[in-house]
Amino acid sequence: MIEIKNLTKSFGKNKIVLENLNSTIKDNAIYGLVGANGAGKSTLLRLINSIYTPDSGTILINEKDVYDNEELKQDMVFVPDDLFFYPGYSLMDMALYYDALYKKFDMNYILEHANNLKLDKNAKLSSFSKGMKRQCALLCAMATNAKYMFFDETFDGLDPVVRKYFKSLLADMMDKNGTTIIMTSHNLRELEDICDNLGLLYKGNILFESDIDTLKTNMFKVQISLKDDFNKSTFKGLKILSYKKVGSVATLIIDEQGKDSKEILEKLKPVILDYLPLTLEEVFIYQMEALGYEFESVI
Amino acid sequence: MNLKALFNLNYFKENIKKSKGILAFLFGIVPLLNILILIICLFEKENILEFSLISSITHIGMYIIPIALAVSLFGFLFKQKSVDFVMSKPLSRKTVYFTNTAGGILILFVFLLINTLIYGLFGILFNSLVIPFKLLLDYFIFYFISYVFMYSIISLGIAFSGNFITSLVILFIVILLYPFITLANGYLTNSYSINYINCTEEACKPTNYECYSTDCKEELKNNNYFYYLDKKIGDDYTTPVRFTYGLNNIFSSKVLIKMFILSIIYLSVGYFIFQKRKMEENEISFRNEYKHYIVKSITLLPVCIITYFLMKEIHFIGLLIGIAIAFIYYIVYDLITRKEIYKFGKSLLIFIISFGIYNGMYAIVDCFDHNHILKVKDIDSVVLFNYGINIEIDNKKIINKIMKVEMSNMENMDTYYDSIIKTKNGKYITNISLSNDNISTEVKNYIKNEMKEIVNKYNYNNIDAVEYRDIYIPVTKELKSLIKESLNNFYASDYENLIIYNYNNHKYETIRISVNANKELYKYVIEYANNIAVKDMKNNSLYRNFYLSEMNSVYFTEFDNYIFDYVLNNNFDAFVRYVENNNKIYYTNSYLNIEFYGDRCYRNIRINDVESFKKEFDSYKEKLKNEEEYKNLIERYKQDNEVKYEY
Repeated sequence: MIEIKNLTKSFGKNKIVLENLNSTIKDNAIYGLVGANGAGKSTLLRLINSIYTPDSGTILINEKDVYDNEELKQDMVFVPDDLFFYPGYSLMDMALYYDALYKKFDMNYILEHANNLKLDKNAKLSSFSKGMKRQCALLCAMATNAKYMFFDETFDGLDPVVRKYFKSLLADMMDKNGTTIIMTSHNLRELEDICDNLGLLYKGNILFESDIDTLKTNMFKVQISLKDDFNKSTFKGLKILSYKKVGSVATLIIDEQGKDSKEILEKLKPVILDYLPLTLEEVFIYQMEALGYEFESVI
Repeated sequence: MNLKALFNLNYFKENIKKSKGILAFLFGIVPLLNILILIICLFEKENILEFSLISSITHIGMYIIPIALAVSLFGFLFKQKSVDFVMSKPLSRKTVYFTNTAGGILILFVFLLINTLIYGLFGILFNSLVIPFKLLLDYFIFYFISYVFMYSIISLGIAFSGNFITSLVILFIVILLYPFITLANGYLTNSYSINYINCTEEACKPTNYECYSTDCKEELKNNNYFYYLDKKIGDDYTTPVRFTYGLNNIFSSKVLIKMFILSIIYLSVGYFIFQKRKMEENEISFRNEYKHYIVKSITLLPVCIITYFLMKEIHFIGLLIGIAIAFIYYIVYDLITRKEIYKFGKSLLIFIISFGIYNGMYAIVDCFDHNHILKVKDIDSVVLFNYGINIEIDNKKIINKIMKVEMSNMENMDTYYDSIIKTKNGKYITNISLSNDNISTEVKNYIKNEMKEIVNKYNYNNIDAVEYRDIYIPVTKELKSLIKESLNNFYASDYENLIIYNYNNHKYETIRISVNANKELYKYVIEYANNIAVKDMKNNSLYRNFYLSEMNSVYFTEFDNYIFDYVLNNNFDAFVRYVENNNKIYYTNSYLNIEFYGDRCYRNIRINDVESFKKEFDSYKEKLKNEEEYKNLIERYKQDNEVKYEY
């Protein structure tokens, strides 16, 4: 489990990137970190990986302080947004580099998946496209068999087929090794189908976090029409995040909060009652609106 | 601290792998270049005593290799993406710093060891290369520490700034700031200084001191005698700086210890900074603006000495030009290190403050009373350099006598001894010159006895090289024993000396003994010199210019001398045969010296049997008498002599 306690990081006096951030990330899950550009996603990952030094606060993994902890770092791997490869290096050279530093590195993993992805393991990485470079970086990281993996803008530059391939690799890794993956993106749709948990970083803090299943099973878009005239107060027993009425049909966004909304609504004998699923983006939009934020300003 | 745990061998191996370029340069190109230089030296010169020439590549490398190596190992700090890559690996900051530092030092160690072995091997294989073991050891130790010293500073600079240009600036500040301050101080205090030596005792008072100016006459009342003082600086400069300033005696134990201690300090400070450094500080020169202003303002110090002199010499216009130069520098510094003009208003304010402080400091130092008065009684010793022997005189009586002569004969240019005066505070070391004609018999005898003692103390078993007229004679047991037998006659004329070299106490100690000191020694040396001359005559056919250096007027005329080069060059083979067949040298007062210049050397041939050579020479002339050029020479000689006569 990763515990972040009162984490603060600033770049100079006037540029506070993270302020008193608290979060808990459970093991064997994929945690998606979303936020606008400059929200502090990359900074947070760099802090967890001991690249940056926090101004204050601690980051614990299994109750051990991660900062400059060589032993703990054996179980951590980080793929940053801006990739780095030594000049003249091939995928094989990079794999050997990782192999020298990570005790559990699996060279066969690289060989197998490089072959599947049709990556020439001996060609210079400088001759590869942006997407191919990212594939190499991801493969090297995943071959370390680290228990905690951190990916910044994970799928940036990957085509949909390769993206799907890596998503399945990550899922396998979680199943087999109990890996915990933290990945960032500014694109919610990218994380929707892979993450278990989502955290929204806004102005140096986690504004909102939840597991996706709960989010999706607790919130619904309901289209309803009653025989008699009605307004928002008709539904006062429910937590309505959004209410829009066009003609005689109203569209409600309902947060269940443990209540069975269907039962309550059916008692009103509606003419129309449709429950529609919400996209993750919609869930976020309505949650943010409920918290008083404009979604566009957050993501 | 568990050093083994701090040094990550796998990380080091990977660093080596990724630094193939620089390693190929260090372990391939540089040793090859050294071998090439050694081969060229072997072809170009008969014997080589100048090790600085042989080691010139590693000498220049001192300024390049540690920087290149540090950039290769710590250069990841220059870019955020490489910082992310390295620092996210399972390595603690301690491990990264320690592995890179120790690894870099290890690479430098191996690099210098390889070069030392190459020099040693060549020294063993080729007698003509004079490379004593002690010199090799000094080379290895001093160069290694100097390289580590440079490496420690640049590593510290990189850890501190995370920017290449700023790291270089820090390197220059660390190694050059102190020398700059001492030089600037020396220049400002020496330029307008008037120096005196104070002598109240009769024993040192000059006998014919001449004084014309009012100041001088005023000082004379206090027994202060005007004197030329040169403040010697640079003794405590580090080796890379000593090289830059062209200072001699680069192998100084004091400097070695200083560099060793400083290296440890810099590496420790570097370690501390690396541990605490903010890894987001890269690409530009310091995120922390105060660090940027401090470093930038320090670099303004040398610029301000130019502006100070401009102001001093051309006043208001100079001040304007000075401010303009300094400010342009200040702006250019920002553009180079930060790629922008950084916070103009604040920069301007700091510039004005720094400019004012520096110029004020220079003005204060310049305004001090620069008159130095050195007391004769404070002289610790006088060191005389005589024919390669250093005689350090600490006898008060003799010092007084030397000073008495020196101050009495200030205009005397007839120098026999170059000397230095060491004072008790160790600060003023003065260049003086003593004339042999003016020193008393007592001083002369004292010097002679001192020299004798030095010669007697000389370790003749450790002779590294013997030089006679630009020829290095192989040091054999026979030669050593002949030299030992010739001890009593150590004092000789310039040309007929054997210079004996012994590498000791980090430098070549030399003594000179006369080649005429011993008949057997004479025979040994002259025969060898003649053989070398014959060999060179045969090998160097490009250019020869024969002349009689010491003409024997009983046998040879002025005209013989005039046509000498022409006659010998046109009978070259016969002449070579003659020298080869008549090289039985014996000690005699009557001889003939023939000198010639080859395309790369100067040689001397000594002919013992002058009468026989005269006959040989006449036979050469006889063969040429019908040649047109010979006749022209005769004509020209006649004309020249007529012209001379007319004058």
